[in-house]
Amino acid sequence: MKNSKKIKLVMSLVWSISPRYFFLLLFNSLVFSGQILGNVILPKFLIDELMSGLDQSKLMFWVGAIVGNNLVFTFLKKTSKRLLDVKEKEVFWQIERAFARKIMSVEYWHLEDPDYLDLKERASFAMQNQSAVPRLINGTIELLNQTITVIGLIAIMLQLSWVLVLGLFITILVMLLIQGSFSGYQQKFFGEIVPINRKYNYYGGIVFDKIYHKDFRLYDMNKMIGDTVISYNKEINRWFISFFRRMGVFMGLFQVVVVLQTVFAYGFVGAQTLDGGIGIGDLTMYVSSAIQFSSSITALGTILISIFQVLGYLEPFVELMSVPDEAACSGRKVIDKVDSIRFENVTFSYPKTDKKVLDNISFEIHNGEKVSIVGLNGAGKSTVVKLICRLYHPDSGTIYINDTDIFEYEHTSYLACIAAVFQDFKLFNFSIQENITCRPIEEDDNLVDRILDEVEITDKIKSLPKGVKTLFGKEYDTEGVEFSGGQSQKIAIARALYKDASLVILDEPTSALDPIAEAEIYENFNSMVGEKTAIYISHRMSSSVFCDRILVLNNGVIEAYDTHKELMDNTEGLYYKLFTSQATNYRLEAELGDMNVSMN
Amino acid sequence: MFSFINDLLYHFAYPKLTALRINYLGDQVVKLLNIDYKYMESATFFEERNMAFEATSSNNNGVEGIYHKLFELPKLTLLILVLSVFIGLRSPFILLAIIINIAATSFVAIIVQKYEYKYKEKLSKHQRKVDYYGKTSKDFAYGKDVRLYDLKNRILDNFNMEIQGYVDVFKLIKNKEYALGFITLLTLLASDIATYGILTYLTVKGMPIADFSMYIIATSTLSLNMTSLSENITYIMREFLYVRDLFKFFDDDLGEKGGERLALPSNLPLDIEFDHVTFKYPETDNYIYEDFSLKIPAGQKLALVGINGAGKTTFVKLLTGLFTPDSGRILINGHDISEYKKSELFKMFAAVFQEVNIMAFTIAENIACSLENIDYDKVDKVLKQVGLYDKVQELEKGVNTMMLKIIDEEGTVFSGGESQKLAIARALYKGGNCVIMDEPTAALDALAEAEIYSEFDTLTEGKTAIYISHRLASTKFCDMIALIDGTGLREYGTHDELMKLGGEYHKMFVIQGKYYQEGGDVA
Repeated sequence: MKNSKKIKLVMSLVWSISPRYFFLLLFNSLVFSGQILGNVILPKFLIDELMSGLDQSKLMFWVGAIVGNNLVFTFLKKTSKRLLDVKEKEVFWQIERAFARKIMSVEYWHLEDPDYLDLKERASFAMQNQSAVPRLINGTIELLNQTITVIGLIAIMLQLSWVLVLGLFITILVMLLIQGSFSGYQQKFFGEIVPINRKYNYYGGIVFDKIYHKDFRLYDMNKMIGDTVISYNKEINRWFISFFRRMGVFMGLFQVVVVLQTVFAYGFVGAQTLDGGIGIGDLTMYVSSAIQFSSSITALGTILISIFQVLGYLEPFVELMSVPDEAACSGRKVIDKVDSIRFENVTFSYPKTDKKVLDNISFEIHNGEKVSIVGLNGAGKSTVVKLICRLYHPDSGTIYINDTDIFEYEHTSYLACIAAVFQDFKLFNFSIQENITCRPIEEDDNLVDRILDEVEITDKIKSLPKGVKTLFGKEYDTEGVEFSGGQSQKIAIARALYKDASLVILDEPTSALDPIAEAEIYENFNSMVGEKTAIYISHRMSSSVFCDRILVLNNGVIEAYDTHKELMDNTEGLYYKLFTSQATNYRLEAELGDMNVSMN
Repeated sequence: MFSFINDLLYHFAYPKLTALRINYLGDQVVKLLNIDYKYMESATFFEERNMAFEATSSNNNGVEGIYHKLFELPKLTLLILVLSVFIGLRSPFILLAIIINIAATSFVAIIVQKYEYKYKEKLSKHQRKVDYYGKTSKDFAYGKDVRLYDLKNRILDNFNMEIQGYVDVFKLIKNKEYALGFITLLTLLASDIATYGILTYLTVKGMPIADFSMYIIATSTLSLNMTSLSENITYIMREFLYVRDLFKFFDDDLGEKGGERLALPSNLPLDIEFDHVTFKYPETDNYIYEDFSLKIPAGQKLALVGINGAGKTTFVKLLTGLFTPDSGRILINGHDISEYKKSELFKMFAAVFQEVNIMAFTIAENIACSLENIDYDKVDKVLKQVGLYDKVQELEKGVNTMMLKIIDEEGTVFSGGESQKLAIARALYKGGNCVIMDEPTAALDALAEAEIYSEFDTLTEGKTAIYISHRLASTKFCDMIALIDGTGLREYGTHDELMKLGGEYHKMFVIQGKYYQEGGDVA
């Protein structure tokens, strides 16, 4: 991606966050160069005055001017620092927020594509560890600012002689050559170190991620993990040792040129003074111009290196931010209710994989039907559901809802029609009530209470200090409460019920529930779902007994699509096998149970 | 020439200091991997120890930052001494004015630091909240729910609110710094007037112009270097707090050692006893167990059942020493588990937990939990036992295929069911004296589940086994069933005994079997 495009994107992003930030930075750098120019020019007048007149009031005036100049600029510097310190924090987080907005707005399939995960990791790294955006903006403004300083200094020095300026320019040219060859190396270096850095970050990261620590301890993985982290640490340091050595040579050479430059400036201006061309005051001014000039040029060089480096880091961020939003990719038709669903010759494989998860499947679900999808692990059950939720595009074939291609619908209204509980559902560290309503708390909500009752979790909620207003999870605030897997699952189911959408999807909704809770959910569900269309996925075969029809998937194709009764008649079929393998464990004992009951 | 060597040396030395930090980082990682597990589940552990972890986080702070700054100190001190003598001899007033100015600046810096420290807790509380949104909103795993429940704007609004909350506290600190800065403006004014006024006066009185220029440069160099010195010292003082926390972290006994006792020989099954155990999680009020007692004789296969939240997983965490009971004892072959060395205690258990977390290592490394001395025949054997062998053979690099795609783009990603099988394979590879399975079949299809059941006897042969599952059918191949509820053991016996008892277990079993029964009738 072109650097100019990257700069443009970042600048307009930050501009949209806070135009004031730009003005502050500009102000800051103007103050900076103002002070430098003042310090170069003012002492000349004082010295001239000391040389010639010894007029007391004039001397007082120039001393006052120097002191005042210093005071005013120090004050301005402090002021702009105070404003910038705060602004920078704010802008940093607002950029993170813009980043988050993008991730939440793009089409979902990006999020399961490992390339995008990688892209996000790299972009986050650049933002968090390299503070890439502030550095870019700062760098750009510094660049502007140092350029202004340099131009001002050149203007001063031109008054003396163009030879001085030309001489200085030649040394600068040499510096730029040194700089150029180094930044070439630098870019290559940072390109090569990316994969190692990623490994280091990953293994370093899991050490701080609590989910792995049970395994670390019980499987004695301490050595394995520790060794890995340390070895990547050392490897990175090895890379940096060679980098810093190279940089030492470059910076050393650079310093030599800077010194030569100073010598040249002193020599030249000194000779002029000896010739009697200029006074002592001018000498001071020209020499400090030349010295300041050198340091400004050095600063310019450093800024340029840093800008190019940062632009390299920003590549993944810019790439991610350029992915179009889902809203921009979807249709315009508004939908308010799901009546029917029809798959027509749908084939699908996950991004970057060859295996066809679904191979040319067609089926239809009618209005109000309750359908169960069963099959072995990896048969494509969840995929069917994800496709309906429009989280992916089919490779070929079309999915129709109400006889219209689902991608013709406008995305907000489309997703409003679906309430889904996924296998890997997530809840947020909001209050319990907000997790269910997905809206900020307004007032007590009777519907929430009723649904909590339906999923049988009212007792637990009532035992909490703040009831439904209790925060879920401790990560956000230590006052929150941790829920077990089964309890969380109940909240997730409650959330789906509250949404009151015309299509309800439950993917393994009871895997973490105990038998009693599970039975209650099943038995209540048909009444909870009511007339709505519903799709269930479960490995507990007993759940399909409730459904109108069962879609049996086997290796990406539909083996059967029928009622429980009909499917059980085919004793050769997959469904029969699956059902009986679980049922045999219960049948005998259930009879025993019945016996017991009758004995009583 | 000098500057060339100076730069060269600086850049050669720099990574050496980084290497020092990396050594500390290594120690830190090792410590973190060994401390008591309970700290990992504590919501505040990382926050409280944050300063210790920060101390090794970058080149510019903590350990390494202090080293870099320390190296500059002698140079600065020498320069300041020479210049002070030089200027002091000419005019002690100028020197005095400069010293006062620098002293005032340092004073302000220290006050600001104290103020910052005072607000540290408040700031880190806000930081935690901002971080939560920073992390959650970008976490791909939340992507589906964010979209389906239209949570985007809600999250972005909250995020914005938290940013403002953080910035407001931060502003307080910065305002203080700014206000105190006015003191230093005054002393700066005084020092400037002294310098320029006195030097001009001296020149008028006959000091050569050349001396005037020289002293001007000398004074500005002096105050510049004094400022750096004072900054370096306050910097070191501040970063020292982090380093102090780091060493405290190293020195604190966070339970990584345990007792002295060694693990039992691997062929001996464990005899386990919970003796009047009471437990609640740290920072919570609800007791998971109150006066809970249970014996598991050596070689027994125990099924642990109960409703959600009854404390089944907690049982495992207590038994394996990840958490410690508040009162009561847990005995293994008659010895309190606290007598065992931590690593030896862990050695005796092969546990499969509900949630499986695969890491980016090769399949073989994920199973053997080691990078070296992997027994590949054994890896193949356990893969066959859990029914993953064929799947792995299909992969180009077989057991040496990298898991996940984060490190290796060619890496493989397993489905939930396959991951669960991999976790079982890992437990089999480990062996141990006691097998623990916590909902190992939740994500498996019915056939895979049946396969695991039928293999269960071979999987646990000659070992004590604890099987936790909501699928009550699994209890039939266990010797004993323990049903626990909110406080402790409620029912205990064989499947038949408990069915006869007609209590809670009976109720659960009938409920779960009901629809299979009806289904069976249809068939």
